[in-house]
Amino acid sequence: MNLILYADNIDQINELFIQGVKEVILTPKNLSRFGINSFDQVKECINFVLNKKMIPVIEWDILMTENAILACSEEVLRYCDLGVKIFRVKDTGAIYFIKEKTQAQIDLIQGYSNQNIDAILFWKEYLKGRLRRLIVSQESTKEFIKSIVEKVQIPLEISLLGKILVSYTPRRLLVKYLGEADGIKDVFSLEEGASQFWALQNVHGTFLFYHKDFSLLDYLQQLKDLKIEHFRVDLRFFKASDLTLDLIKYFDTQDASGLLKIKEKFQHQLTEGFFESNSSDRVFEKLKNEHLKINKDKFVGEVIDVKKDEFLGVLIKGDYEISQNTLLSIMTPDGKEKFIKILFLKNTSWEDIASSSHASIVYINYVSGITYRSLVFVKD
Amino acid sequence: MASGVPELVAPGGSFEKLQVAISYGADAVYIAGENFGLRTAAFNFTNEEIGKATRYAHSRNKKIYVVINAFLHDKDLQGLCEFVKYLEDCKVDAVVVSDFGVISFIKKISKLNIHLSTQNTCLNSYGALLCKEIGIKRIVLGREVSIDEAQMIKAKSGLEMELFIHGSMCMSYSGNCLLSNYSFNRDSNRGGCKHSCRFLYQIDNHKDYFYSSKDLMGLEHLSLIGNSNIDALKIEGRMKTLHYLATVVKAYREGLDQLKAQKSMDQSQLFELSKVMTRDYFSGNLITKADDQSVFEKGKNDKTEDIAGIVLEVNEGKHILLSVKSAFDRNDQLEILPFVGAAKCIDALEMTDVSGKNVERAKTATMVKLPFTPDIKTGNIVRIKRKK
Repeated sequence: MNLILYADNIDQINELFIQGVKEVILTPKNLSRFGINSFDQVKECINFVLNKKMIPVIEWDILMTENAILACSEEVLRYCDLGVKIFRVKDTGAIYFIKEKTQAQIDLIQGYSNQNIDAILFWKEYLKGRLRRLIVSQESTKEFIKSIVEKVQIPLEISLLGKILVSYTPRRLLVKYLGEADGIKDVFSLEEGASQFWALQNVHGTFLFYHKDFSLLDYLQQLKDLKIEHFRVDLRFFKASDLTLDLIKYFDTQDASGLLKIKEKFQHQLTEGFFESNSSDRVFEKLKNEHLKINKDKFVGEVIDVKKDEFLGVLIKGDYEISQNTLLSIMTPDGKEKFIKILFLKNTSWEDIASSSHASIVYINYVSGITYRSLVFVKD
Repeated sequence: MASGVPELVAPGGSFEKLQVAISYGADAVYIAGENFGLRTAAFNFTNEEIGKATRYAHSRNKKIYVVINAFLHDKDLQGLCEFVKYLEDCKVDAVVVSDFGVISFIKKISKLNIHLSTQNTCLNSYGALLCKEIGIKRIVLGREVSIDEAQMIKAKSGLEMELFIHGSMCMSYSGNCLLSNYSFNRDSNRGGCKHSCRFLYQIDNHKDYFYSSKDLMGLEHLSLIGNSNIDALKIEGRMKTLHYLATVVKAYREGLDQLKAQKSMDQSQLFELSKVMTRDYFSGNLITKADDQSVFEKGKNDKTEDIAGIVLEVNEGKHILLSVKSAFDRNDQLEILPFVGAAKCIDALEMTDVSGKNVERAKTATMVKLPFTPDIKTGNIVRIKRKK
């Protein structure tokens, strides 16, 4: 089992080395969303990591337009020259660049996309031996993680603890509060939903984090049972100095008191996100009005005009003709069904007509309760 | 870019909107089926309607693109195979897809043209080369890409490039926002976006719409685009009104036609765009990168002209039949937006219902008759002129 952490300097790397950590993520300022290090600083870290026989992984997760990617591509190649053999990437351009321009392997950041097995299989097939690992998104359910393990057979990396990034814009939106400086602000929604965020502005734009932090520490054993071997902890935004040590210890022992201690020190609200279940699609059925669907035969058309006690106007959309005395069934948008016998049939010049024709507008006698957009069928 | 100017791609949120988009000058319309799209609440097209829409568009030499742009989970893939095969049978011109799993699936079972959706956030030529390798025909670029960059991506990849030219903008990179997921348990990447970015927030002691973007408007940059080899320009807004659709499509159609005729741009189109609801315009990232000045700080749109209705029937010499979309009074000044040319004023003094009875106030979701006006055509939009 492998615990992976971020490190920004030699002291941090050394501490991880002492604790037996074998792999560290390095974050160049030009490539990584929250990176703070220049090329030379990253170079120093890479050399130190390699000297300690640890594995340096460069994070390249900024989404880049053409000018930006051209500006940083040289830096990426220089990391390869320094001995970096793995990049964590999200952007399709970055994936292609690493695949085509370097010999490095790819740790693919699943992100908000790639939420089905076909997508994961696509990347496995496309990258072939170059795909080292899939970095599973915090939004993935336990069921989906299990499904990837079973169907894709690719090493997975799971986030155990860290912040939840909910939105990312390249625009710097806190200038009026922070000037051009990097910084963080608490953001509270004044409208529906008790939304509270933590907004970070840096050179790459503005990032919104959910007010609760992500933790699967309680599920560590379940994940191990799924044969997950790689776990990541991201403490870049937390200042408790000895938390890393506690986490490494807990990772090895899974001691309940150790977990309690971590949570006490952590002090932030935690959530497992969508790990247990994801019902964020449940709302869709409510948004779709089933009563506005044509789910019966003998469709005539749609009510487009209603004048109380006088008439209904119907746009003839179907192939069924209607005439005087035809029996109709009319389904209202709120699900009521009304029956009507046609007593008169007129055209838009208010002349009596014998029957309707396709795409015409006809007028029939009024029936109470029928509203605009009701659907009209010939009654069996 | 067959005609020498980019293809104008407009939204078709319903069959009625599709007809309006085509009538006012769209070259292609993007629509969604009942599933797999991102606008769950829109009146999406049934399979039968997609077939009808395609026949309607093709008979007018226009194209239909069907969006399959949600990031689908495994359980959402049910029915996709049948849907794709149906689309192929219908001969739709392309599908607009965001998910690489869905793209590879479609490639396996059909020969449909595939456009990469903007949701996939393709922003550079390396991403485009990846897309080329897997058989994607066109890329709908992320809205963070400038005209210059789009031109470079096109030159390096050889793929068709489609650029957003008008409409609402996500503050976030498209497809990279989970505000609704965590705040409302609604998956924004599967059609549940709650538009929380438009909410009022408190930062320090200030109330601020800091995450709400102004709307993109690229009309003024058409000449630059004309020289850029970009293949298509996209108008955002399957959920937008008929009024918005007609006005915006017409403005860009006329702008592109002037470009084709090498005429200088007519300022009247800019004026027309000011008549539809907007969160103030800016040029997005088309020229320079958007900054904090791109925030729509007012929260609410300025009231502009409303649609009165759409002409459903013209009875030569007798009457026009108007499907009323917003209520108006007999004394209101109305304005017809013709498919080509300047708007024309009409009045509603002789307004009746269909049976010939006088109507003082035309109510929403009814039909009224107005006196016949020469040159008015079925499908024209009628607007209510705002009282100054």
